Amino acid sequence: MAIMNEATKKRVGQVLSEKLQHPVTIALFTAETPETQEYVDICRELSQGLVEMGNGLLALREIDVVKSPADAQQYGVDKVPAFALLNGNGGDTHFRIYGAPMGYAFSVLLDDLIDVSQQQTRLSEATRDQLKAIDQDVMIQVFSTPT
Amino acid sequence: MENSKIKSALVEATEFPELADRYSVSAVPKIVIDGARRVEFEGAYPEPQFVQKVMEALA
Repeated sequence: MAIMNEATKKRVGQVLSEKLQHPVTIALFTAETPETQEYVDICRELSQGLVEMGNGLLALREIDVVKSPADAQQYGVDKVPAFALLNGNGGDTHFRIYGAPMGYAFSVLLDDLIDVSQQQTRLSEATRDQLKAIDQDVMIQVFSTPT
Repeated sequence: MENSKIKSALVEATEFPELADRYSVSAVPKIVIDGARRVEFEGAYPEPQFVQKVMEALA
């Protein structure tokens, strides 16, 4: 089953073509277990599709958390499937998606790919100033369901 | 991206039910902010109100 239909692929391809500026690496964390296989396969297909549409600006790095536990630990990933977006220097943007990003979560992944590629967020200046001033560790988790 | 001290995650609750249970997720979106204190809320807040919630989680 195709993860994206042709109409969606066309729209996504157009958006990426217009918006991507700098390289981004999609780090996909996986594990080959019966419990996670279905979702991992979806994420892998989705990631490969995005890279194909990325005009050479998107790369995929797959990390098996069982075979490469040190890499998983470096990125603080303890469950799969998971996405992390790395900027052009391989730097961690500290955002994760846990689970297969279907429905609304896919648009979140797309928006974040674009933000990382453009090296800026869409937040207001006031918000950016407030966030930059934070000097403590903060973890924000947003729970969602596929819609 | 704005501050490396701020980490964030989108979690698909249906794939991680044990996490959803841990944080008592009964409606989505549910946001859990862990800083010096925990702040939780449900719903898509406008940006200024969301940031206010982040600030409430700070010491």
